[in-house]
Amino acid sequence: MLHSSGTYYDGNTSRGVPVQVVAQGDGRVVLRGEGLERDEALADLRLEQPPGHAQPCLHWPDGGMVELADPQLLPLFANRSATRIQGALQWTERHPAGLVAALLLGIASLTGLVVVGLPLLAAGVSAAVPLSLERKLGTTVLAELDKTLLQPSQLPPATRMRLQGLLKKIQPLPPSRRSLELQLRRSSLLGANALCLPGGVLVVTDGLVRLGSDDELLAVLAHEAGHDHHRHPLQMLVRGQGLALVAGLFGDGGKALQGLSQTLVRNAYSRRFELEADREAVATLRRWNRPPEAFFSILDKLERERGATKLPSILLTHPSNQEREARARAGLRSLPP
Amino acid sequence: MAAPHDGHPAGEGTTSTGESDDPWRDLQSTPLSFSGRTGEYFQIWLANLALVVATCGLYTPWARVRSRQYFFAQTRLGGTGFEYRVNPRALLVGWFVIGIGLSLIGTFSDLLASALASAFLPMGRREWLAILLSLTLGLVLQWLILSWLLVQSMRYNASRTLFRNLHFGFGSQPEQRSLWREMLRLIALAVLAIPSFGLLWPYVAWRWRRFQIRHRRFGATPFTFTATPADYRRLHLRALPLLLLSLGSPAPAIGLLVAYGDQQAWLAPLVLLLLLGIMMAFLFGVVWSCWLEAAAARLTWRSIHLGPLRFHCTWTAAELLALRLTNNAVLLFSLGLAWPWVRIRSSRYRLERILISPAGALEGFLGGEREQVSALAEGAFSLEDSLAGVIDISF
Repeated sequence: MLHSSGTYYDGNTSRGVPVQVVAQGDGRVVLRGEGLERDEALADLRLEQPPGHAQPCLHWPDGGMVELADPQLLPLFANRSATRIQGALQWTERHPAGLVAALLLGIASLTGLVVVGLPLLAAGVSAAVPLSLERKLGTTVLAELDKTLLQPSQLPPATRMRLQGLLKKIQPLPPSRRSLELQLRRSSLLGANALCLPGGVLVVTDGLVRLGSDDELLAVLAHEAGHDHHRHPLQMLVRGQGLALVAGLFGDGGKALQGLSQTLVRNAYSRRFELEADREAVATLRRWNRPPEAFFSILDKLERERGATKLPSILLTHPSNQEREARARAGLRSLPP
Repeated sequence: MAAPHDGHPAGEGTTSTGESDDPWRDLQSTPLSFSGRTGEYFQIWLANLALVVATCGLYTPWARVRSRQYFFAQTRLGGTGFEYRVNPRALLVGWFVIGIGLSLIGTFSDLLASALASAFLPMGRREWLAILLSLTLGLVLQWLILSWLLVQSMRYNASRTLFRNLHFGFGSQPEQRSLWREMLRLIALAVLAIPSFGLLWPYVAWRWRRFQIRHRRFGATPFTFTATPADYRRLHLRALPLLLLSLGSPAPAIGLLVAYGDQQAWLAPLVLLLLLGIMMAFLFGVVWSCWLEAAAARLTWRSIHLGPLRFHCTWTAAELLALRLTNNAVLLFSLGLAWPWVRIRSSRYRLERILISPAGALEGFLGGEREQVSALAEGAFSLEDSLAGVIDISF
């Protein structure tokens, strides 16, 4: 026979009555207090245990409730399904092992989401977006850039013709059947640079055109075309939105952490994209029987122009030149000669 | 034991003596106490976080309910904790349908607006008008929907809050439409307060408080609210010098910049002065908001009556300021990991400085009609977890 003491509240007034609750062997529970005697089947009683250290409450079917002062009666409810779920949650919330389990589960699912889930989602979404809409997006972005970062190109017409000719070299070739659009711009802020916007809008700056030979420019265009072939700009957009949603799950806590970790993940995505585009660049050079060294030499020229950075790669959007070159060479070896 | 209170505010005779010097010393009063522990809440918070991430967010209602249940149970009055009696599964539908729906509508309308804008890139007057019209329509729709949801969520949360096994309540089924209308008016007034340069604000704050309190009841006993718009006006007027100090801090630097900004030698020290002015403005702004928060809380609690119960709040501006500054500093340096510690200590400060009197009267309340309020609306919101959000002192 188990018994507990507690305070009884009948649900009709706020008055509390000190009581003794006795669980008898025959499945009945008897409650006794001043001017009070109730008898109920154990099966009809419900136990509620709030998270943390707080008194468990025993609920009578008519709305009466006992706040239990001790845990003597709790084993009687251990094998109910509602109690089991609550118990599992409470175990996670109370025990060190639960803490570790929750942490591991959280880290594992977060990693899965970021490494597998979001990229899959982004690939699906960007495959479903029609080219016309994507192109419109790219044009809007370009219009925005024209207002801020970019100025009209000052290249002579002959050079422009030459570049359009280079674009034709990568344009009609499989596997990229999407039409590309080359936009030449001058930019004092970006210097020598090339961008790929959604919908196959490629932007090349005057500085880059002056820096590179034809083979090198072909490599750069092929690299940007590789971004387009894999729909990297659109995928980045979707992945970024997804990341923001995931970060939103964390609520108000850890806002500083959110911004930093989002940037780190986005950089990791970006580095992977660069390596993918590099492979397209050397493959294109190989297709036109040009030396793949052209790609590596333009990378070196760009690095010399900007100055090498000493930051660790985790903070950067592009991998180091050594890594890019090594990966691209490895990719070349796997291509059919 | 006190005699049961009927459904009307009793003890009209005691109120007249109430406001004299310090009645709280002689009365048999009892403070709210808060027994939350940082370590315990930290683990609950972490488990919640892990499960939310692991379930792609589906666990969110459970996380929210459990954290609220923790804070309610640890908030104790006369030795008894409060209860938040909710089955999270009921919130899941609301969270899913309304929460996701609202965010989808938001994303969709953003996309639509940018698509419209890029479609008519050289925009004529007609296109501008179309965009303006659709934006207005969207805002009106949001106004109608959100105010309804807000009322329903307040009703739901109140009806699910218990103390000594008696339910709180907010409004009643037949009153729903008038509550909605009042909420529509409140939101409209709050928007109108912007072009009025805040002149309307004390009135809006008073009206919002009155709305929150006078529709609330404990068991069958309604809360009453005795503050007047004049009280709130005086309060905001007394805080005004601090606000002016805050707004005026950068003024000297701006004036000097306008006068001497074209002289190279002066530029650097003047910009430094401007930065200093902006920092002062920020600091005074924080002091102003802490002063206002503390004074408004003291006024509000003083003006709440529940049957024979009176409330007394002793928040001070200086303590709130210290609390807020240390909280933010610790949050920043811990990269957000100190969040549970911040929550616990803020709740402790805010709750333990509220006194209730006479303590003996806690026993004498009668239960009222129990209401079944739909959980749909509450699922959509994540309101304040602590009890202060339910008896509602956070604005």
